[in-house]
Amino acid sequence: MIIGQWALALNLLTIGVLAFIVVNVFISSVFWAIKGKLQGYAVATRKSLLWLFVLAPWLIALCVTLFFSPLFQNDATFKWLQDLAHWHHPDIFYFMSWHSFSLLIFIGFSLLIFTKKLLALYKNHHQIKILRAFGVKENTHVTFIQSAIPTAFTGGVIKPTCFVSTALIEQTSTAELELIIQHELAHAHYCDPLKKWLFSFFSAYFINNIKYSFISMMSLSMEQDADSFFVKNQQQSHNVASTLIKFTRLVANYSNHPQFKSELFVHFCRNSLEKRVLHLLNEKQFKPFPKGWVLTTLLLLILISTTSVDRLHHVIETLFTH
Amino acid sequence: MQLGELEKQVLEYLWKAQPSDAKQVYGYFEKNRGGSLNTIQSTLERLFKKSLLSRVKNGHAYQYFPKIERQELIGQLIKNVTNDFVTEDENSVVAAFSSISSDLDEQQLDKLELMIEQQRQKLQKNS
Repeated sequence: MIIGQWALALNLLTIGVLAFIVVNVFISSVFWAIKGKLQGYAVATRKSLLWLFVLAPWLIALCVTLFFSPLFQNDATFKWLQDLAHWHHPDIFYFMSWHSFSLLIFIGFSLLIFTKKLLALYKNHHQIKILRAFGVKENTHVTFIQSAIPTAFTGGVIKPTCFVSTALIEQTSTAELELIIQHELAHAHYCDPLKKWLFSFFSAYFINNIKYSFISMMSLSMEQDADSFFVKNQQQSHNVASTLIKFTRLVANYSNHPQFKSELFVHFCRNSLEKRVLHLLNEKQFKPFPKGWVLTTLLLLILISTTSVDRLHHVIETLFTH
Repeated sequence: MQLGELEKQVLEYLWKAQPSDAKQVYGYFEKNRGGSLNTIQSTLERLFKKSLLSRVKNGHAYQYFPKIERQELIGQLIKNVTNDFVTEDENSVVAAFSSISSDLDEQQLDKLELMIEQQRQKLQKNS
């Protein structure tokens, strides 16, 4: 047992963890209920909403922790909320208690995720470095790699590089190649590899179904954003859509080749090509950013998680003593 | 797999002039890059341990030759990096123009192509 400032800090961290779990459950439910409707929003809005979904548990947990901290506990503005939610003995922390266990589990889980993500990043960084070394630098952002695999991708977290294989150069026209390179340059411009990594880190705190839906939606949104980055009119949209189909056929033919069979990537997210083509052909107006809904939901979540932390505390301590 | 700068250069040399022993490799790099025979020997050893080189004993020395062709190695690297295309892979850190979908067949591609063509014609008519 410790008493004093350290105990207060550890208790606040426990409050943060509890709030994080409560918000995570609520966010998962809200996302599951409205995920079909997200397609009705413009790509930029969809991306912002997805970021909000994965960051909300952290932001709200921070708000709840601040509310329970001495900074706000003496504030008369929140008197009504303090009557609903309070934390007993904030300056006493027992090591052999559920507070301590929940904190330890959360820290352990976070460390595990961070290490896994860091290792994946390190491995990817080295592979990209070798590819850069074996490639021919076309300009600051584009590297040509000698390969029979028709491919184009952007990799590198700190300095993203667009890789284009010689097979792709040989099998596409100058105009098509330009569109593909522009698409990749858009990914580099948006720093998508880094954003993908960060997004995968934050979404790792959700259950698998939700996590994969988040990642799949974000990947699709990033591709759609890159598809239309250089598009200025309908004709260009059609050209990008045609190039996408031609490229898909090229890759499909390549992976059916007996020499390379099963060597290449197979799955993309289900129907994503169709969604990308339809998005390029689509002229409809998208719904605006739902500011009112987002603000109301965030405020409600802060309120729910603040009171839930207190209730959860009471329920657990009714069932078990520290 | 990690590959240092010298390892990459030695591989490039062996892809062009295989098979060679450590002295032959050193002979080439002594003129172009400098360094010692020991450095070359340990580089060859590392590449052998990484399964990028094979070797056969010829007298007292080993003859080294690439186990994997340049194209094959690059293909392997692309495969490793682009395995992240699988959007369900939570560790994805690359963004790609396109990948193939096992769910997408020729008919669907034709349908999409037809749709693009129809939109093109509609646009031409309007303008």
